[in-house]
Amino acid sequence: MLLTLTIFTPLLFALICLFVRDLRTVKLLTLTGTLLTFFLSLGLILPLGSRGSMTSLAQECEDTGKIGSLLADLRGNPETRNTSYTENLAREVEVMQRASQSEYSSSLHHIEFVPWIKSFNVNYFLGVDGLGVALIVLTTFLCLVSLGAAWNMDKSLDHHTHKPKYQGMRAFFILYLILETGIIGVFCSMDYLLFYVFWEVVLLPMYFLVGIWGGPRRIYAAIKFFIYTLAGSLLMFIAMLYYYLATDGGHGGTFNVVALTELLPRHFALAPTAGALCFIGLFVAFAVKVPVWPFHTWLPDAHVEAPTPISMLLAGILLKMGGYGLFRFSYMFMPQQAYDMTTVVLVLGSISIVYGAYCALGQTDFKRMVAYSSVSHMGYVLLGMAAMTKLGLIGASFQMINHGISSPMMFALVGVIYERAHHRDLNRFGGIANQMPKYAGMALVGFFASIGLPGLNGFISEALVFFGAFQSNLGNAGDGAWWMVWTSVRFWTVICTLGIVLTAAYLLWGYQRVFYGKMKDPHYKDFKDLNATEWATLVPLAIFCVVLGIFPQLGIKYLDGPMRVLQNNMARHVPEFARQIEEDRLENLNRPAGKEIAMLNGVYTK
Amino acid sequence: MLLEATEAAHSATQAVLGLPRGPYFKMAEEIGGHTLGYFMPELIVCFTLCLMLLVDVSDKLRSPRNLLSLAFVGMLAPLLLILGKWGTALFIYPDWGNLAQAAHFFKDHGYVEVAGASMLAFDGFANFFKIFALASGLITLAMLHYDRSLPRKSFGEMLTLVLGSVLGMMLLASSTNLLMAYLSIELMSLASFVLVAFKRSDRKGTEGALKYMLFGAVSSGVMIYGISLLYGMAGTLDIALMGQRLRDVNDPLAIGLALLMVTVGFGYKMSIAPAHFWAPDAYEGAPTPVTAFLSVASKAAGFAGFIRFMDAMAFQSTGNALPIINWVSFVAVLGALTMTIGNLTALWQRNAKRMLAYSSIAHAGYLLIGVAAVAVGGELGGDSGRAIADMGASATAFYMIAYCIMNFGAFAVVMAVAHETGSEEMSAFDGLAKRNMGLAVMMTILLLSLVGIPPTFGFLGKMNLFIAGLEAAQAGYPIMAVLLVVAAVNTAISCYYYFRFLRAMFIAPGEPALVSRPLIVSNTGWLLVGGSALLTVGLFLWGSLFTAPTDEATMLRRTPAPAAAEAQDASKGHAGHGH
Amino acid sequence: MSATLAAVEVAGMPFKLGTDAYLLLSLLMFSLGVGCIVSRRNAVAILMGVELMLNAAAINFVAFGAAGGGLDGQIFAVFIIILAAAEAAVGLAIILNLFGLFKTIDVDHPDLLKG
Repeated sequence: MLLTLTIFTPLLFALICLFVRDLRTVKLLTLTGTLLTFFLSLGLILPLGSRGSMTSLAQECEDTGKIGSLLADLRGNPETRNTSYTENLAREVEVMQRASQSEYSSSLHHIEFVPWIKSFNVNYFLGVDGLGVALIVLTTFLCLVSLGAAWNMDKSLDHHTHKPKYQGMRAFFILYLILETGIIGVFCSMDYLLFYVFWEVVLLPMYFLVGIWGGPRRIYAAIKFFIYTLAGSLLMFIAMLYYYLATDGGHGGTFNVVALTELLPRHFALAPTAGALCFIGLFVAFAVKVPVWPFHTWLPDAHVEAPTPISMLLAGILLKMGGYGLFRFSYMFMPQQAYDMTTVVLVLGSISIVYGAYCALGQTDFKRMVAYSSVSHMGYVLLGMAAMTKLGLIGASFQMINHGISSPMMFALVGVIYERAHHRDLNRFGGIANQMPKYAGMALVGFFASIGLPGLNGFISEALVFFGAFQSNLGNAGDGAWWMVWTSVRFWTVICTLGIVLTAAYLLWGYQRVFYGKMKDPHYKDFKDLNATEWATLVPLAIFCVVLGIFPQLGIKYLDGPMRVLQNNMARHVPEFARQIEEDRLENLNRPAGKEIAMLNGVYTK
Repeated sequence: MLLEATEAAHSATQAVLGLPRGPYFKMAEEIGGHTLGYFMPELIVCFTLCLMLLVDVSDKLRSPRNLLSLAFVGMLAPLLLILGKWGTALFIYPDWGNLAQAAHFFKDHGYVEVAGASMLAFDGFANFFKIFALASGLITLAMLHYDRSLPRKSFGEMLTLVLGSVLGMMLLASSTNLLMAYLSIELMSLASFVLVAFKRSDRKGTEGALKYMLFGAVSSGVMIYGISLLYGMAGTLDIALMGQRLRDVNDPLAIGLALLMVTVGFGYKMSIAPAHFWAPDAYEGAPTPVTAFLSVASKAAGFAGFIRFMDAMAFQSTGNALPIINWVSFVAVLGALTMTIGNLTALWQRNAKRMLAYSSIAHAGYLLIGVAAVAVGGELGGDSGRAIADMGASATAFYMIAYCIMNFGAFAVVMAVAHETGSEEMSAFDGLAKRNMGLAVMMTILLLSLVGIPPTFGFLGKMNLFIAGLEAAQAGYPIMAVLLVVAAVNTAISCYYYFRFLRAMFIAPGEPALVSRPLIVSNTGWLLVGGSALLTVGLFLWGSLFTAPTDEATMLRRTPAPAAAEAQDASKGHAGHGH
Repeated sequence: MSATLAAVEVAGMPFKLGTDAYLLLSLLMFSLGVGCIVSRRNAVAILMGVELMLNAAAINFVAFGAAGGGLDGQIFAVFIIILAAAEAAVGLAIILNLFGLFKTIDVDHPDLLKG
C-alpha cells in the first residue's frame, strides 16, 4: 500500500490542483504533495536492513506471501480456477519461489500484486529493493528541492519586455506532479508492461515542461528529447513483447520481472541471436536515456533549454532511469549477452567519460558545460557496470545517486546566476565571488563534489568505480599483459582517468571564469546574494554532498544487496564469469595491495 | 445498463424470430430454412432507409430531429439485435474467438459445399464488423448533428446515404460470395461518393468527390475484371469454394494476376498504398463527419472483405509450384509501404484534416500487420497456423476499435475548432489551450492514442498488433520482424506530426484577438470529444474489460476451436480412464 | 475451359469459337478501357473507359458462365449492367456539379486539394 501511496500522492495533488485557480494555493498544494511523498518514500526504507534486503523474516513472508494468497483466492473460486491467467500465475509463483533462492525476490519488499490486464497476464506488481528505494528517495527528495527553484518562476521578468517571463505556471506545477508520479512508478514497477507505461508517462510532462517554459530553442529541444526517447523505447517495446512470447508456457507469457529474470537467461541460452538482438534493443533504449555517446545529442539541447527546476530533474533523475534500466533489465535478463558485450559497454562508457568532459571543456555556455558534464559522469556508471566487480557495481550505482545530487546542484547554481545576469556566457562573467560570497561558497561545494574531491560524495563513487574497474580481469586475454589488450577493462580504466583530469580542468576553469578575476560588467554590482528559496534549494543538496562524502555507508548499504544479486545472477548463468570471479578473488589476496583492497571491500560492502 | 439492454434485445430476438441460441454456424437446412431471421438487422437498416425517403417527402415530418431519431433507431435496433444474437454483449464479454475461427470452421465443416445458401455468412467475424459499421454509423449521426455547416434542408438525403453506406458495409462483412461482395462494395462506394460531394457549392468537396469517384470507378473496374478471371478458372463465385478449386488450377500467372486485380479493389477501400491517392483529397474535401465515417467504417469494411477473401485464398503460396502472389510478403510489403508513405507525407501537411487523412492511411498500414499475421497463419496451416491467424485477425479487430474511438474523437476536435475559427488549417489550433483547455487536453489524449503511447487504448491496440506480428515472425517469417521494425520507426516519425498539434495548442502564442475569445463547445461536441478521450484512457486502465467471464475468451487465447476442444475432451477422458 | 460455345461454318469448315476468343475480346476491351483512362484528362472520357472495363468483365462472365459455370456468370453480367448505369449516374452528377463550379471537366484542372 505504501508504494501505491507514494506513487499516486503527487497525481492526487495534481488532480486537486486542476480545480484550484489561485497560483499561490497551487504552489502550496504542490509543496504539500511533494513533501508528503518525500515522507512516504522515507517510510519505504524502514524494512530494509543493513544489506538492503529484508530485515524481518515476518515482513518477508508477508510480502512474498501476498501473491501466493492471491493465487489461492483465484484457485478457490470456481469461476477463475481454470483460467489461463490463474495457470500462468501459478507458474509465476513457482518461478519466483525458485528465484528466491537466488536472493532476488527475497530482496524485494513492499510488494503489491493486483491483477490488471488478465488477458495478457499483466499485473499491477510493485516492489522495491535497495536500488529502487535509493532512487525513489532521491526522486522525492529532488522533486521537493527543485520546487525551490520553481517557486519564484512566475515572478521572474523578461529581460527585455519586463513582462512575466513564464506564464500559465499553474499547469507547470500540475505537470511537475504528474512527472513525479511517472518517475516513482518507473523505479518500483516489477511488471515490465507497467514499467513501460510509467516510462512513457514520464515523457509527455517533460515534453511540455521543456516545450512551454523552456528557453528560445525549446520546441526543437522538446521534440528532439521526445523522439529520441520514444524511438529508443520502441525498441524496448518490441523486445518486451518478444519476452512475452518467449516465456509463453502454454498460458501466455509473462511480464513479471522476477519471473523473466529466471526464465529469460535459460531461453536465450538456446536462442543466442534473439538474445543479442534483444540486448541491443534494450541497451539502446536505456543508453538514450543515460545518455551514452553516441546517443547523447538530445541531452545538451534539452538541458540547456529547460527551465532550472526541470534541468535539475532531468539531470538528477531522468538520466538514472536509463542506468536503472540497464541494471534491472538488461543485465538481469540477459547476463550472457551482457557478458559477451562487455567490450561494447566498456568502450561506449569510456568514450562518454572522456568525450563528455572534452566537450564540456570547450563550452562557453555555463549550462551547456554542466550538461556535458552529465554525459561524462554517467559514463562512470557504464564503466563500473562493464567491470562487473563488486566494487565496480556498487560504485556505478552509487555514482547514480551522487550524480543525482551534485548535478542538480550545479544546475541550481547556474539558475541562480542566470536569473540575475540573464545570460550564461562563461566569458562574460567574472568577479562574482566578491559580489555574492555566499553563492560562491555554495558553488564551491557543488563544483568540488562534481570534480570528485575527497570528502565529498563524487569522490567515493568515482574511486569505487576505478578500484572496481581496475580489479576486473574481464576482456583480458589472461596472461596479465592487460595494457596490450584493447578489450580489457583495465586498459580502458586507465584511459578513463583522463576524464578525471579533464573534469577538474573544465570545472576549475569554469569556476575561475565565473567567480574570480575582474568584473566584466558593471551591472554585476547590483546582484544580490542568495535569497531564501535559493538557500532552500542549495543547502539540502550541499548537505547531502558532504554527508554522503563522509558517510557513504548511508547510501551504499542499500545498493550492496541488489548489486550482489546482479553479480550472482550473472555468475549463475555465465560459467566463464563465475570462474573469473573466483580467480580474481584469489589473485587479489596475493597482490601487494590485496589485503587493503579486501579491507576496502569489507568496509564498503559489509 | 448496456448488458441489460442487450439481454433484453437477446430475449426479444429469441421470442420474435424463434432463433436458437448458441453457435451461429447453422446450415440453411439445419434451421429449417428460416434464414431470414438472421438477416433481420440488414432488413431493418434497409427498411429504415426506405422509411427515411418517405418521411423526407413530408414537410411536416422532415425536421432534422425526427430524421436523426429515425436513423438512430434504425441503426441502434440492429446493433442490439446482433449483440443479442451473439449471446453475449460486445462490450462486456466479446468472444473474439469467433472472429477468425469462423473462416476455418467453414472450411472444416464443408460448409462451402452447401450450394445456393452461401451468399452470406453470419459468423462472429461478420457480426463484429457489422457492429463496428453500425456503431460508427451511430457516432457519425452524432457528428452530423454536431456539424452546423451542413445544409439542414437536405438532412434526409444525407442520412439515407449514410444508412445505405452502412448497409453496404454490413453486407460486405457477411459476403462469402464475390458477387455479393462486389455489390456491397458498390453500394457503400456509390453512397459515399455522394456524401463527399454533399455540399454542392463547395469547390473542395466537389473536387474531392470527383477524384474519389474516378479512382473508385477504375478500381472497381479492375476488381471486377479480376473476379471474372477467377470465376473463369474456378467456375464458382463462392469464395471458399473458389479457394479450393483454384488449388487444382496450374496457372500461377493468371491466378496471381487475378488475385492482384481483386486486391486492388479491396485496397482502394482500405486506402492502402499505392491505391491511396484518392484518400487525402476526398477526406479533406468531404464534410468532417463524412471524413471520419469514411476513414473508420469504410476502411474497416474493406479490411473485413479483404481478410475473408485472403483467408480463403491462403493456399496460394504453398499450393502452387510457382506462386505469383505470396500473401505474406505481399501484405507485409504493402503494410510497410502504406505506413511509411502515410507518415512521411503527413509530415508536410498544413491542413489538419489532410494530416489526419494521411495519418489514417498510416493506420491502415499498421492494421496490415494483423492481416499479414493472418496470411502467415493461412500459409502455415494446422493448429499453430490457426492460432497465429486468430491472433492476427483479433489484433486487427482490436486495433480497429481503438482506431475508431480515437479517430472519431480527433475529427470531432477538428470540427469544434473549425466551427469557431472557420478554418481547418493547423494554424487554427494555435493557442487552443488558452481558449479551451479541456478541448486541448482531450485532443492530447487522442493524439497520444494515435501515436500509441500509454496510458491510452491505442497503445494496447498497437501492442496487440505487435504481439501478433512477433508471433508470426517467430514462426519463421523474418519479413514480419522487418515489418515490425518499420512500424516502430514509423511510430517515432508519426509522433513528430501529431506533436505539431500539441505545439500549436500549448506552445504557439496564437493570434491575440482570437486567443482571448474562449472557444465554446456544444453538448454534442463534448459528448463526442470527451466520450472518446475518456474511453481511450478508460479502456486502457480497464484493460481486462475485454476479457470474458471465464478468462478463456480473451483477445489472444480463447476457447479452443471446435476440433481442438473435442480432441482435448477426448484426451481428458482418456486420462480419466487411465487413473 | 475449351468448351465449344458456338459452331460456325467458315468456308465450309466447322469453325469452333472457344472461350479463348471471348477472353481475347474482353482483354482487348479492358486494355482499351485502361488506355482510355490513362490517356484522357476528360472526366467523361475516363468514365467511358471505366464502362469499357466493366463490359469487358461482363463479356468474361457470360462466356465463362456459358462454358460451364452455371447461371452465376449471367447473373453477374446483369448486375454489372445495372451497376454501370448507377455508377454513371452518380459519376455524371458529380461531373455536372464540377462543371457548374469550375467551368471545366478536365480532371487536372481543379487543384484546390494538394499535398
